[in-house]
Amino acid sequence: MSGMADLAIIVLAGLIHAMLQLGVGAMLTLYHAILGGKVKAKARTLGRNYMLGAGLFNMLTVAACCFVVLVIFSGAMPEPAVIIMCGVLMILAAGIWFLYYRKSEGTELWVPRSFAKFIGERAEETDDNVEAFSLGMTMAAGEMPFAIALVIMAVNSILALPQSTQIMAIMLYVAMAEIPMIVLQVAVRNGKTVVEIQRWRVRNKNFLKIMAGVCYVVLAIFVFMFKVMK
Amino acid sequence: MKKYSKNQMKRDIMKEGRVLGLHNGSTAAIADRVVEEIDEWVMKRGDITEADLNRVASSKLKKYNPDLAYMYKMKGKVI
Repeated sequence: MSGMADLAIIVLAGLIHAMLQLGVGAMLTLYHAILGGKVKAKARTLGRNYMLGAGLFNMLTVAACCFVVLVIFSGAMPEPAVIIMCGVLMILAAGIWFLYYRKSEGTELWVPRSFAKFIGERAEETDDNVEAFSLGMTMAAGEMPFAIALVIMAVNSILALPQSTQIMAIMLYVAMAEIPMIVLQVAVRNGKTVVEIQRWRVRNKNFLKIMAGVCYVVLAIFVFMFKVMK
Repeated sequence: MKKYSKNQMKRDIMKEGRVLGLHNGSTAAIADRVVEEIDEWVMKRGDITEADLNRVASSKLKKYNPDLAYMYKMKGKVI
């Protein structure tokens, strides 16, 4: 039973991570830059390398957090630490609802405008696989203020699983977090334009914001019930 | 700070047309008309910001191609 609960926490944390929009926004900007160029065949490889960079960064972050939690707590986190993390998730839920998106007609995010402009310029100038890869890693790092609590919650559950399944659990989390980028890649390959995708993002911005916040709350309550109140 | 250039504006519109998969010929025709209109607007102004230029380009492009207009409306607003 507790194994199922841990798995559910990992999947839910991964899905919430997938709802964050910085990586998707940067990938859309990257596609916009590539598709405006003369060699469209590059779109597939650059997109793939972008996803690889983001996935690798997330995987390394989860693995590093596993190591840190193991070193500090010699196993899964104690109850006081879990309670604190549940509180952090609640605060992040409020952050998602009120701070994540700026008040604008687009999908402008909380990141400083200078950083957003830097990302746009980097995406426009991305010309080879290594640059796309490093852009993916940068975006995954940029998402960390809202994602690190999710990673820590997932890590706590990963460490509670049998050792033989822990690596697969890490891959599961990373795969869940990559879902929107995979969907974006498939959508572009199937002929969706960046305008259609961006219109979709703008239309569903409020829904995604509310859902992400609700999911943060649900995760906090779920972890509290299964890890503290058990 | 960048200086406004008619040719640069036309190249930008052509690039956005390629992103949308529009025919080069039709994008060029739209770009020629819109750039003339934008030029008239710019001549009446002193300093203009990139946001002003994108906003005006979006409003001028709307009657020719709503998707191109949307691209300009969303410039700098994706992230």
